[in-house]
Amino acid sequence: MEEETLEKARALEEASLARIVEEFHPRIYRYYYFRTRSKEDAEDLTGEVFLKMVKSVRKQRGNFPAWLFKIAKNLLIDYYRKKGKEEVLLKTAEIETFPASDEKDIGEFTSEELRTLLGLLNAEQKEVIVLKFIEGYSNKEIASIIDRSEGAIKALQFRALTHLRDLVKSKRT
Amino acid sequence: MEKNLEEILDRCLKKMKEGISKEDCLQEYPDCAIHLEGLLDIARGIQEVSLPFPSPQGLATTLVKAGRAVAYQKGVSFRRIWAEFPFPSPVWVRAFTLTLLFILISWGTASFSRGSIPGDFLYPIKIISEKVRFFLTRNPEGKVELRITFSEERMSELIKSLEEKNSLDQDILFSMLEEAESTLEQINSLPQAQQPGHRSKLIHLQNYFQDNLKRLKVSVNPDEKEELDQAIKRCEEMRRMCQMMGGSSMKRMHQRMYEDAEEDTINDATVRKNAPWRCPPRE
Repeated sequence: MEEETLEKARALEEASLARIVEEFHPRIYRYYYFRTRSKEDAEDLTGEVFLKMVKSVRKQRGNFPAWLFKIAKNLLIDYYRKKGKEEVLLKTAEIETFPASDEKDIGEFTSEELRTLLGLLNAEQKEVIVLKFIEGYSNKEIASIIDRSEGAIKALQFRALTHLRDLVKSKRT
Repeated sequence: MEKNLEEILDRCLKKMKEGISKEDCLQEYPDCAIHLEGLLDIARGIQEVSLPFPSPQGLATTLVKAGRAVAYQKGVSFRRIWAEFPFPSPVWVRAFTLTLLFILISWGTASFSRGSIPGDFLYPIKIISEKVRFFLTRNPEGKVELRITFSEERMSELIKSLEEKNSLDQDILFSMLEEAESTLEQINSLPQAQQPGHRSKLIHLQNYFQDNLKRLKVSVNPDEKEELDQAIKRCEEMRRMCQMMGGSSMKRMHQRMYEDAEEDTINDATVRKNAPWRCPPRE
């Protein structure tokens, strides 16, 4: 994202804000897609992120994507609070949709399957997997989004991948 | 061991992102290869997963909503500043703070406007604040003092304006004389005992005006000199009128002054002899 576009967006210039929405809308949607259980909720939350962005973009400083994902993260927390439930982990037994196939490679799955698998991870592990392997952010950027150290990100990444590997193995053997 | 593995896994992921194959990475860490292989496969699998995209309607809806939010934000910038202003929370404290702020701003603006002259941005504020001061003053003697102050102020403005603009501002000259005449009327409305002191001040003021106006004559254009001469004459008339007023009404004083002027019987010396406290010696 060019600094010039960001500066114009901070001055509430509509064309620049529209460019930002177009660029980040799919990323934020994916973030919610893997964190909520319905596509509709993911779309609604994505829309809300950009409304919040417009409201507070004048004060935005520093890394823009990290700032935007922080808004997304806070909205997700509110979403679960409003619904009166925690972002609960799925029980292994709930993963009926995950196909048990010997023929498939261990790292071969669809986005729906991945979504189901991620349902078995805790909130922080999910966050690291989505931001790092789907959105391609560095450890440093993820650390600033979720307010943890880079060392903690490496540990979360290791535990999340180990958990996923064990789950996939147990389903496919 | 686990800590070590976390570090090695992260290094391998970084290398794979740079384009190095999984096998090459594992060769570098043969001791950990068994643990790492499955993890790297899962990481690669996630990266290769076909990504979900929001519906075009979803994007369009967000764009429309964001556009509305921008319009709203632009429209309510004042309300936003107001809302974000760090006022103290109880309502009465907020009201008190606002009142204090209003007073400070008004006082500050009035102070800044004091040195202004006609044509300046702050000059109307100066005139308004003078009117407000006059209106708020309930004491008749205070009102006389204010009139004298305002009249002196006009004189200063006249000098300053002539220095800056190089021409005589006839409006200021006129309002200076008007102000002085109003002062005399204001003095007449005072109780008899209070009049002589104020009248004496007004005579001093007229002397001061005449001296200044005579001095200004050298700096003005020839056609403006006539204006100054008339003003000096008016000052002199007012001074004489002041001197003649003992306790009579204004109307009678006017009448008497013109009669005396015709006969030319009144002069400073006569007045000084009859009422020395009312006519200080001229400089």
